[in-house]
Amino acid sequence: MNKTTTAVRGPINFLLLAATLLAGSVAHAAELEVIDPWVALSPPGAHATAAFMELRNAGEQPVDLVAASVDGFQVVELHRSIEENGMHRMVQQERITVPAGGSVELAPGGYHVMLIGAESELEEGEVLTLELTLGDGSRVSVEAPVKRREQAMGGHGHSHDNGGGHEH
Amino acid sequence: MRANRVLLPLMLVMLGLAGCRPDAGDNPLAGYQAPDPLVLRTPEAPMPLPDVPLAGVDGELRSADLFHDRWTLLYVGYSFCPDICPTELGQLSRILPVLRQRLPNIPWQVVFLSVDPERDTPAHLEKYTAFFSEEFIPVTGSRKSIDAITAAVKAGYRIEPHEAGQTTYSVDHDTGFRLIDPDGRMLALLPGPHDPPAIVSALENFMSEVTK
Ligand SMILES: [Cu+2]
Repeated sequence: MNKTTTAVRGPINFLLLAATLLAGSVAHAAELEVIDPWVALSPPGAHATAAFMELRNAGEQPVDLVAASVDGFQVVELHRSIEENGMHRMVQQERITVPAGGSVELAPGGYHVMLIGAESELEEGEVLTLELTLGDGSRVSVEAPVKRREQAMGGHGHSHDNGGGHEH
Repeated sequence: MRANRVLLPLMLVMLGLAGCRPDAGDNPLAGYQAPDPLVLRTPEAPMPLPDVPLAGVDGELRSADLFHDRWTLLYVGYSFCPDICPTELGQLSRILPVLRQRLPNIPWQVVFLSVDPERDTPAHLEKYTAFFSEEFIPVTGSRKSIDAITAAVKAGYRIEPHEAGQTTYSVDHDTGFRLIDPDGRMLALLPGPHDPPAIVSALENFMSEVTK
């Protein structure tokens, strides 16, 4: 984990900010750090690919990732790959919860943002903008470069130990 | 083709570890115990694959020819798969050259069987697998042929029910690599998660002990 890309956007107009500060809480977007976002380079003609990242929550409340969008794809969904008794399947997630003071890894073999129906073929090194929507309606925008899996994964296997629900 | 199909997985539990059977006979697996069954598991006896027609890049081929005279690592999946299949095929693309280098007398091949012929035409599969390795052999086939092969090697899959024409359904599938011998018999299962170095050493070990 070397690069840190965090860009916070969203409904931060002064009044809202003042209101939330007065209420003693902060927009969730401000508490969420997105580390090393990347999109897997897909094989030619692939119908789908996935975006991965680590989400860290510095706040005192859990933060939910509830939706994501990326321009240039027909459908973007939150998913989790799970493996049970040697069978792999994907389960769509309504939310991915990042615990207070904790983190969740979106990584191959576990949670991912699934990108379906690219309007044009992805290219290595291209940077996509992911808009993440959080449970309180705030948004985080991150820049995710397109990488080859083996490069992004550093030659390691897929991480069944985080969110993979893997069992033998 | 039926749009909606459920094939309940024949679970890998059925691939119990090889027992210590002294009466070997024609059974190359008798008495073999993998040092690490989490990486490589052998069935009680070799599991023959049926001879069925398949659809390959160069047209129709017979599974008996495909799995003949070569040692095969078979992976069952589908190209729409955004996460696991690319990861596993990536692992296989690293494993294949190392196997060829370490066991140079053994003719290795990697076969990718798509259980999703509705979306995976042979031409599409060729482009897809070449991304990982030009040497992978992609095949698919009729539902009947696919089911004959997957049942024989106990690879479960389930296609998500969907409307005709819908293209975004997902497929649950088995993630094991299957080791097929040159007589078209499955001799071992390499269950996921797949760590290439562990797999290579398990296969080296297996080949030296079982296939003398
Ligand atoms: Cu998915």
